[in-house]
Amino acid sequence: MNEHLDVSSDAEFETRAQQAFHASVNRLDAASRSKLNQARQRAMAEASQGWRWQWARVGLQSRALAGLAALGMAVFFIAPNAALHYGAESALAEEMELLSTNDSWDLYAEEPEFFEWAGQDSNAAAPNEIPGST
Amino acid sequence: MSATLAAPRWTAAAGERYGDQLNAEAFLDQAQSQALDRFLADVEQRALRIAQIAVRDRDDALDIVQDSMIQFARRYASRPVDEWKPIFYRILRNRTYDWQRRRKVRGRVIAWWTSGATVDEEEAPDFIEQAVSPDSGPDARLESAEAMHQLEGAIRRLPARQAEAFMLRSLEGLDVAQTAQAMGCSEGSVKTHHFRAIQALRAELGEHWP
Repeated sequence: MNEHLDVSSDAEFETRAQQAFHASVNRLDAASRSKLNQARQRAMAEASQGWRWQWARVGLQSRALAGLAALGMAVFFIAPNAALHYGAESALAEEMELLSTNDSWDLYAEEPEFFEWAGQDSNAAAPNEIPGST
Repeated sequence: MSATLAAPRWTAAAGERYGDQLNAEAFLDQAQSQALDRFLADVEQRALRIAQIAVRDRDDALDIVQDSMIQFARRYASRPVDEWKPIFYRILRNRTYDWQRRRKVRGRVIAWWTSGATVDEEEAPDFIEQAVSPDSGPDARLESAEAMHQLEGAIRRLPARQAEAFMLRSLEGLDVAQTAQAMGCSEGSVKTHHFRAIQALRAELGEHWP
């Protein structure tokens, strides 16, 4: 079949095809070139908007990172003090809770002698006086 | 006193740094912009001819190329420059397929709507005119123009993948890897399609090709 071909080889055929193609590209009319130029300008405008957005995004990311770092530093330096304060407040609250429970009234009812002694002790009684020892 | 002196110094330094950053951004923007402009200017005319061969209509081909350029610039301009060409032709190929699908659907709708009536002359593509003389310039009689007309017709009669492989490899000059990337297939597949395309084109054009 190939003996009918004018083109002797695939490479030569490709070269000729490419030449014909490039010649047709060079023959493009002015209207087409103008429209292509306008289309390119539109694409360039889109691209520059994209780049601006990209830079803005990088700026936002760096600011967000800086904010996170500042927040981390704040947590690192302020949180321990806050924890101490919280610990002290929670201990006080625990004592208040213990004092406000009904246990002390139960103890008073069961062991009135102890509370009498404690009352005497607080009224400057002798330290060696033990309830029930007399 | 030292604090009041220190504050303006720090502000000035920060301003310089910020100015440098702005200059760097502007420089990068400008460099990228110039590279992109050169790239698009380099490929746009060949892309138009390739699209025109595929869709047979100059205005539709212009729309396809414009959409491809905008999509490329919007989404892929930040990619490395050596990846631009296959990506651009991948977009062009997808846009061309989209156009062909829409055209097919539109043809079916028109066929159903007219249901045997004669198609309006404005709607009907003039295939004879397009096949014989798609170029309207004075150079249309030149031998290379005639050769291109025949080549275009033969390419259109190829299976789609063979036509793609031939146009990207032989006409646009992409290498095998770039063609594979643009076509979304393996390099072996590109070689096969390209070889078969050349054989088919040589068989068809050989006797009469100017």
